[in-house]
Amino acid sequence: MKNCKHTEECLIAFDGKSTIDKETIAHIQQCESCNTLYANTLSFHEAIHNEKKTQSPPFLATRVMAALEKVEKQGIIQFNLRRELQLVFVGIALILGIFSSVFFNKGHEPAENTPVLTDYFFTENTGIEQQWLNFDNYENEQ
Amino acid sequence: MNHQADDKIIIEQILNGDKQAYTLLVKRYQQKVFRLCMGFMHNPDDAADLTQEVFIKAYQKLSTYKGDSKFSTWLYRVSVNMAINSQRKQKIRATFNFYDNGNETQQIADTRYADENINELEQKQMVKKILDSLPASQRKAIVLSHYEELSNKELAEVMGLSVKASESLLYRARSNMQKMIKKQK
Ligand SMILES: [Zn+2]
Repeated sequence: MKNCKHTEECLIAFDGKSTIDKETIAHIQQCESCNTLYANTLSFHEAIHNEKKTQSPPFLATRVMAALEKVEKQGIIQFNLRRELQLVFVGIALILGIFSSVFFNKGHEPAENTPVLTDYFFTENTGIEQQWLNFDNYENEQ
Repeated sequence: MNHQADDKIIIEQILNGDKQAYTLLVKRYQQKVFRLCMGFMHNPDDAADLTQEVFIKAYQKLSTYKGDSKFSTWLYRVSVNMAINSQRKQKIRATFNFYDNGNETQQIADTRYADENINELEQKQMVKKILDSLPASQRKAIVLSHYEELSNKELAEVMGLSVKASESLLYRARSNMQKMIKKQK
C-alpha cells in the first residue's frame, strides 16, 4: 500500500489528465486526507480546464487594430503637444531671465559699493599685497 | 509554408510599413494570448483588455524581435511580463481604492457570471487565490505549462532558463500549489 507521502508526490506531478497508478488510487480510496487532497486537486484542474475553454471575444482583432490606430494618433498628438510646451517653457524662461536681470540690477547700485573698494585700495594697510610688493626677492625673480 | 516562416514574412511586411498585415498575426495568436491572460486575470473582460494591451505593446516592440526564437515564444514572453505588471497595478489600485478593497469574491461573482453555478464560482476563486499567492516566476511557469500546455523546453525558452532550471521552477510551483490546495476545505 502506497503511503501518504508518495500520494502527495504523485498529485504534485498530476496535471489533470495524466493517469495515477492503481496502488495510489487504492490508497486514496482508503485514506481520508489523501482523498480530500485528491478531490481538491481534481477540482482545481477542472477549474483551469474551464477557464482554458473560454473563447476570445469575436472581433478582437478589429478591436486591437482600432486601439492601435488610436494609440498611434495619441502618440503623435502628445509628441506635438510636448514640442509646443517645450517652446512655451523656453520662451517663459527667457522672459523671466531678462526681467530678473533687470530687476536685480536695480537693487545693486554701484555707488553703494564704491566706497568699500576705494577704502580698501587707498588704505596704507593693504596687508599681504603690500608685503609681497616689498619682498626682496621680487626683483631677483624678474 | 510553416507558421514560423510565415510569421517572419508578415513581420517583415509590418516593419516595412504594411500595418494591416498585423491583423494576420493578431488573428493567428489571439486565442493563445487570450487563454494565457485568462490564467492571470480569471475573467474574460479583463483578459480581453489585457490581450489588447499585449498586442499593442507587441506591435510597438516588433522591431526588437530578432527572429532567433519562434514569434510565439517572443509573444508569450511579452504577454507574461505584461500580465504580471497588470496584476501588480491591480493590487496597487485595490489598495488605494476603497471600493476595490472589497473581497475578491465580489469581483469574481460579478453579474457576468450570474449563469454560473456556485460550485464553478468557488472553483474559480480557488484557482485565483492559489495562483495569485505564488511568486511571479512560479505563476508564469504554471500558466505557461497548464494553460498553454508548453513543453519544458518551450517553457525554458520563454522564461529564459535552462530546461533543468525550468523543470525545477515548475516543480516548486506545483509543490506550493499543492500546499495551498491542502489548506482548502
Ligand atoms: Zn494518505
